[in-house]
Amino acid sequence: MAIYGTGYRGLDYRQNSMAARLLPIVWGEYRALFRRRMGVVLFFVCLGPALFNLATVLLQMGVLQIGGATERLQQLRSINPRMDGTRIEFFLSLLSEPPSFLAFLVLTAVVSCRSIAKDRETRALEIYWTRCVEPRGYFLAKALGCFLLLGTVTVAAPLVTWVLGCLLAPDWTYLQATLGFVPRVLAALAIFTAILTGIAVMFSAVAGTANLASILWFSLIVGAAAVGRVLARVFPGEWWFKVINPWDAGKRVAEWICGYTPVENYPVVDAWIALGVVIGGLGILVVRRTRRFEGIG
Amino acid sequence: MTVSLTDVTIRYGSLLAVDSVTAEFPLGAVGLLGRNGAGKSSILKALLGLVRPASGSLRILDLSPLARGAEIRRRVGYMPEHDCHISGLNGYETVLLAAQLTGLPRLDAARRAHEVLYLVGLGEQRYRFVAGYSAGMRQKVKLACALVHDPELLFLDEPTNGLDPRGRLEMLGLVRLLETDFAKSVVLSSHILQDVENVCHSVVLLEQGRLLTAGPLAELTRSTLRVFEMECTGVEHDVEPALRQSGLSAVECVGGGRYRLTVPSGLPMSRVFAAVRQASGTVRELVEHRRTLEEVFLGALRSAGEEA
Repeated sequence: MAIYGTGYRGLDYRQNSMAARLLPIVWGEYRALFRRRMGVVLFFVCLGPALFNLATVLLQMGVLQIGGATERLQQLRSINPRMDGTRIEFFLSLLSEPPSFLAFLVLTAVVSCRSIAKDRETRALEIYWTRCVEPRGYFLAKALGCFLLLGTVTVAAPLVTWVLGCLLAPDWTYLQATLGFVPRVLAALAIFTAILTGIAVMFSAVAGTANLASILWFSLIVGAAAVGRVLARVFPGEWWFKVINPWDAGKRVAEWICGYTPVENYPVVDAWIALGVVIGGLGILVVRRTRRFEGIG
Repeated sequence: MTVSLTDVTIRYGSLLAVDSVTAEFPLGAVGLLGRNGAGKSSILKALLGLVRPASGSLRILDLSPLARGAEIRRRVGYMPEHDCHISGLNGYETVLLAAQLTGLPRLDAARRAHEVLYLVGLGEQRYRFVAGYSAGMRQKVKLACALVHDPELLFLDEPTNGLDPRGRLEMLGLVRLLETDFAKSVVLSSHILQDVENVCHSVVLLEQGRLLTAGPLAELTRSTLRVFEMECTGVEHDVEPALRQSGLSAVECVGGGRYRLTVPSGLPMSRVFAAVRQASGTVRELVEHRRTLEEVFLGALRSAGEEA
């Protein structure tokens, strides 16, 4: 027996605010990956580097006891700051290690690059555009949903690692050693994620299909990195060429926000300019492609 | 008046989709009729602010789509022609999202989504993914999305597209129900004459972007001549000579005691009854013959051709 009436009734309601109307889009985008089993698997695979960091902290605190792992970690900490949970390099490893780079790249391709392009493919834009949603709000809601999902990996996971480290430490030394930089690192990671996610969502808004958006995204990151490396060898000292890749540029900006000086000290202004050019160029295309008149032909 | 178009022209680049159309859509069910490519969908999209007309003005519910688009979208429900769905959502979630995007609070939206899904006949299938729905179910979920926020006016673009005969009847029944029982104004865009004839009171006929004719269906289908169909019983003599003698312009026997009579204006109908009586018969039925919408459409096409 149906618990809801089958008749049609008139409706008297007060229209929600624009933010409340956009919230379902944000939430829907966040949940999209978890609707498929493969999506859940992919999410946890991409969470791997963050989970490795968590395990490192747990080993450091003595909570985890795995054979001689604790002793091995002690040795590594002295030679590799990336393995020391009290160092800024440990938290920034999410930006510099190849597995983290790969995880982020795949996750953005699957989540952000599909977000708007998929709606265009399935003509769902017609649903959005004939509702009380503005294209700009729609784009921001999609980008926010993607940011929250990727932020779970890049920001929330390190935050949880740090909080657990503080709680599990035998005394206040871990908190004292890390409190000075962790909030800045988390802010930097959030900004880095927002920039990179934003660029990927822009590709999604511009491309006609989700696959094309993913290809463009990979081409930009991998292609620009390759070109940048080659140019950096041809013109040594010309740091500009190292930051034409948005990933490296974003990383440099994040390091600057943290107050961390990397070995390869790229000029941060150049990084900002490179990101500005990419975002500005894509932004113009996004505005054109997400117009109400443009969305439906 | 729900919608009015004044000298509206719509272009897609060099393609002229709608050419200086002026028409008014009264309250109730109005059919926007024309062949594929006649400009029906373009007019609906222009009314919703999805296409910018090259010239002319549009008013919908006394509002301008360009200036008050958001207000219009809140008061209008739109069922698109093409298959469109948000990937990964089931029927209930799709309708719920449509409601929330229009501005319904979460609880109202949820209640309402269930209600309209039952109304359109998808109550039992509402938790299945839309991607797995049949063509008929997808049409219904689009109708549910159009209805969920209780709009005053519904734009239904080819609602019977891809439906089997039974699905088509169900869909038309629903549309009729919305107009008669729930007092919704409906603009039904279709290239199927029968669909429009079954549901609408008024029609706007388009051909290659131009307006052919528009008006209430009753007026358009009324014959310019007074043509009646008559059924007689108990006729002992041949009634045709008597009818001809009574002053009728034409008499045609259509079989089974039925005749089609063309009555000149000014001739009283009592002459017809008298002629039948003269043949010792009785008039069992006498109904005014109306043209079908197909005849109206073809006639309007011919007139347009002659004018051109």
